Amino acid sequence: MTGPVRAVSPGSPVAAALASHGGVWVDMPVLLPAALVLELSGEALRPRLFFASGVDGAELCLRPDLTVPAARAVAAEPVSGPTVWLQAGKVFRAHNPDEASPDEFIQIGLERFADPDPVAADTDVVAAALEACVAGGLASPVITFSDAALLALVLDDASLSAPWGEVLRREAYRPQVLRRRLAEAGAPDPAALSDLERQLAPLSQAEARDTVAALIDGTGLNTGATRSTDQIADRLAEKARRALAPALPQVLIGSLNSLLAASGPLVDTLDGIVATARDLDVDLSGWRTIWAARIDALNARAPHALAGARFDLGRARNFGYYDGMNFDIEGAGVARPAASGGRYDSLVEKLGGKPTPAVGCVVRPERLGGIAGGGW
Amino acid sequence: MSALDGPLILGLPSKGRLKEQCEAWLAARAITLVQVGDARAYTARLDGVDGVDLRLMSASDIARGLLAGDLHAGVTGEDLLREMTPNLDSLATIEARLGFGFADVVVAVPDGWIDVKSLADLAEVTAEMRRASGNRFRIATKYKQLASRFLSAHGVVDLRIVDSAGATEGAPASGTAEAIVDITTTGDTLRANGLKIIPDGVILKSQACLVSSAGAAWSDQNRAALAALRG
Repeated sequence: MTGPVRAVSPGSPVAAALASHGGVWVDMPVLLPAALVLELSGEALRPRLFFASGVDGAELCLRPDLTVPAARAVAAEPVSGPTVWLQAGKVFRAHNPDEASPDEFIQIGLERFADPDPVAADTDVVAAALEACVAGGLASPVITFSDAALLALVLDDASLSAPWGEVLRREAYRPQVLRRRLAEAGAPDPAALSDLERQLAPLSQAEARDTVAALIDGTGLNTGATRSTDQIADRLAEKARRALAPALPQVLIGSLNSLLAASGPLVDTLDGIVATARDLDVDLSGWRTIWAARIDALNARAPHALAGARFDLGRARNFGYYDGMNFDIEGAGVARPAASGGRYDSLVEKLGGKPTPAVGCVVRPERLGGIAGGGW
Repeated sequence: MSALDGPLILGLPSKGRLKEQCEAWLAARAITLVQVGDARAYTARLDGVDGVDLRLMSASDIARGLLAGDLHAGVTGEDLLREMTPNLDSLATIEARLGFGFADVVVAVPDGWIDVKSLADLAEVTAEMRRASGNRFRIATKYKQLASRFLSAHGVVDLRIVDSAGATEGAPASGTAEAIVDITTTGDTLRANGLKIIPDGVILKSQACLVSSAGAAWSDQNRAALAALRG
């Protein structure tokens, strides 16, 4: 035991590698408004958060990552041009009961805002993350890419019969729900309808709303202060329309399911996705060209970076803020990603700022395995 | 006196129906709770069992004390313990479920939501609200951890939990939340407030339990006293 040490300084190997393409070291707040973090992530994160009370009663939490405080700073004070920030510091996430991981750990992060050339910025972030992993001793690093915007892109353009096009488009950012909806679209089940739903199906919207209002008000039931009988009627009628609609052809469902499951070597998988999309009458050549540009730029910068690289659509974050290209870097003998990152172009605006393109990554140095006890 | 030769520190509910039911449970073991001083005072001892130092506390302080290892044992609700930690089984042991203090922790919505019969329906309604208004569906509860774990696990994700320290059943009618997670025994208070339980929305069927703490220091004498209480 050497006792406490300073684990990260700007000159230590992992930090220096991440910073080798420029950027300013910044410190961001550790305390964040809890409501804001939960609004962004959803309640699924609550069991992992540490809460704190402000003296004025404000409910705060310790930052669960480095990106949200950085994006919040940009939302509060817009950047005047391309901006690269580097951060190293503790983040706080209560460990899962079945894991032995610590409740607080160091992350080293890179965030790029307002880059004029998003592909160059993406490449820079992926290359920096990889170099940092190598500098920290990660053995045989492999990058797995994903794309959180792909399903929305396909569903927006696919010709899908009503009501399924709209029903599926709504769930483009939630693969699990999308799978359920696809199953429903393949085999609508009129027998599952209630008598009321069957009764509402042929009615106009106004008639259906009147029917439901009469039913609910007539029996003295309550809808609460914020949900109207109209909303209940509309939902029942839509459920009925879905159940009575013609099924979506199995061949389309098969194509969408195979997109959802797209996983394998990077280039083959990207090409496979383009071919599958063509079966849905969707032209992904523009999307593919952007990925080709990323791949070419990475190969030019770091010839071995893409050795063994994979694409796995299942890695697209369901609840995170990534809304485009994203990636994980894993190594031999490391169960969890040692680095991850991606585009979060809508985050600054969601936080009340002006729209600001953004991409970033974060390295978990203790998962790199190379430098025991710090000095990252 | 070191912890190891000290008595078993036992927390029991300090007042109300739960205290009376605990006394009846002790009486079945020929143990009597003897109040010291005024009946409203929180000082008492147990007659009929040796080596027990009795503390009368609120049920939630008992739960906290058990998880922290400040108490060896105590009687409290499983709902309170599971709300305080996702990790109950490694911090404490439920020695016995006592057959009183029943409380189901449930997800309840306004009874006029005739379109909501399952958590899958609730997930759709929450997603629809976020799509239509940009706001997340609000669930009022004091069981914030139990509610968020349960609802996330069942795919109900477009929601915000709002803290409610009391009168939670009134939240949907007053507009401070759309639905609630709360405890119910008979369902009467829910019905009186125009709410219904979602059938697959029963998070936990709780009752009063005798619980031992893994964090306290246990001597053979303490273990014998616990066995006497367990009966």
